[in-house]
Amino acid sequence: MLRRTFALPPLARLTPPPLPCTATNLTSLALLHTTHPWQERRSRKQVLAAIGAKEPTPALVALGARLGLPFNPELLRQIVTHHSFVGEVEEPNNRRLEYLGKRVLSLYVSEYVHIKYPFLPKENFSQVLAGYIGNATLANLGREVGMQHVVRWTEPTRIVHDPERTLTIACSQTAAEDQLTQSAVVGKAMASLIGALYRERGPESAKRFVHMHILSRELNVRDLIEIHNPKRYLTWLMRRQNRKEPESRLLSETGRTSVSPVFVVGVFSGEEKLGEVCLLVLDMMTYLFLTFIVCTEIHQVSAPR
Amino acid sequence: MASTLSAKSIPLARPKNGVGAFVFQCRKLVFSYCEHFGSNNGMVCVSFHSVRVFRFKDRNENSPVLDYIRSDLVKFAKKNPQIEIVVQHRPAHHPIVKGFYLNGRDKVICVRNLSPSEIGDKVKLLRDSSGAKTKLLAKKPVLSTTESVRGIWSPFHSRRHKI
Repeated sequence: MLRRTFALPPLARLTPPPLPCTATNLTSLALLHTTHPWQERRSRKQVLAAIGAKEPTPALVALGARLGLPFNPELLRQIVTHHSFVGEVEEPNNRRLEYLGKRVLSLYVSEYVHIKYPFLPKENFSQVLAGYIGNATLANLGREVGMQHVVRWTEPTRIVHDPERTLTIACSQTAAEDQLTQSAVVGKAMASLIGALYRERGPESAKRFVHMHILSRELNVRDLIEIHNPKRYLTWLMRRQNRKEPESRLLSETGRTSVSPVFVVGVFSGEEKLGEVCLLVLDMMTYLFLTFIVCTEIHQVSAPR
Repeated sequence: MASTLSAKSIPLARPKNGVGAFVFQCRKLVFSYCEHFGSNNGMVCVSFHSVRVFRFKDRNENSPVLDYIRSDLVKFAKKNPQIEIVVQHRPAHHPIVKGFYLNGRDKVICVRNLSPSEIGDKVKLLRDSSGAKTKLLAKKPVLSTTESVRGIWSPFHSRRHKI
């Protein structure tokens, strides 16, 4: 069979002919060289297709190095691939890893909060847990490490508000609020990252990662606590811990007969002072020092053996 | 259990980069060069260590100039695996180095007519930046979300005043 080859004349342009696109093959190196002229810049997808879809993107390798993760590139790619992603080939996604990761997160954060705040009421416990590992926080964490640039997912077609129903759009069945957002995908990728770390490197490694990245965040626990009957709560708390009943004692005072007296009152359980507060009226009992007791922080957090 | 809580009741956990782990803020560096323009000499003849004048007629398919960029940039890239490095051919322009950061901002430095070592200094400047807008820190040397270590003074917990 005759094969005709057409030799076109070279394109007339001032810039040199493009060199082949290469990517160095070192594991931790991310160097991408695009040689196309500025005007004919190819899209990121085209460039990656030219290199070969097997290779991980430089941004992905950089992410792995930024977080200090000892993963091979295939696992990194699995971590950032959401199950909605449709590629040319069937690719492993992060759904199972995300499931595992959420539970691992829940374990280590619960453990930490349980030890750090031993007297925290149970409603506040779930709030603190949500604050550390909720979807919003995981999404924020993902954005802070640059996960949004590497996640692979398919954005669902947006539901368009069309009251006259003149447009026919193929939209998903779910409501607008349940639609997948980039924040959700980023958060899931973070959870799957921890799941992968647990699976590959074991519990100690995962725990260290959770403590370094998630539990180092600042969360104000004191503001969450609402005690409606502070005297009753304190009495109950002391009885439960087999301590003596709480009594308030006057520590110091000034200007009792004046217009603006100040009293320093301490709450004692036997001989032990639980807390003190400065009052303007002797009978008034604020619950500030109660929350101080309830939120007693044990400075040396030791894990249960 | 967390899903049953309303959005308002979930407290905000603020990030504190460096308290636990440190996340490097510079995520990407883009180097744009042109082989023709003379201002690009420092960039094209490498990035950091030697000066070599590049002539148009010396250019060929396997130009040694680009090999040079690769070798020196490769060293920098190896030392900083957390940064994604992109080299882009941008004809008829001054060479620039553009840094992208995790806070969404980017910083551009034009490295025209700089020697390779000077370009290296600019690259290090971009690498070490957090991406935040440059602001005067001299007036407020300490920025913290936590209370002071020694506590705020109270008249009830200090020595009695003596004349």
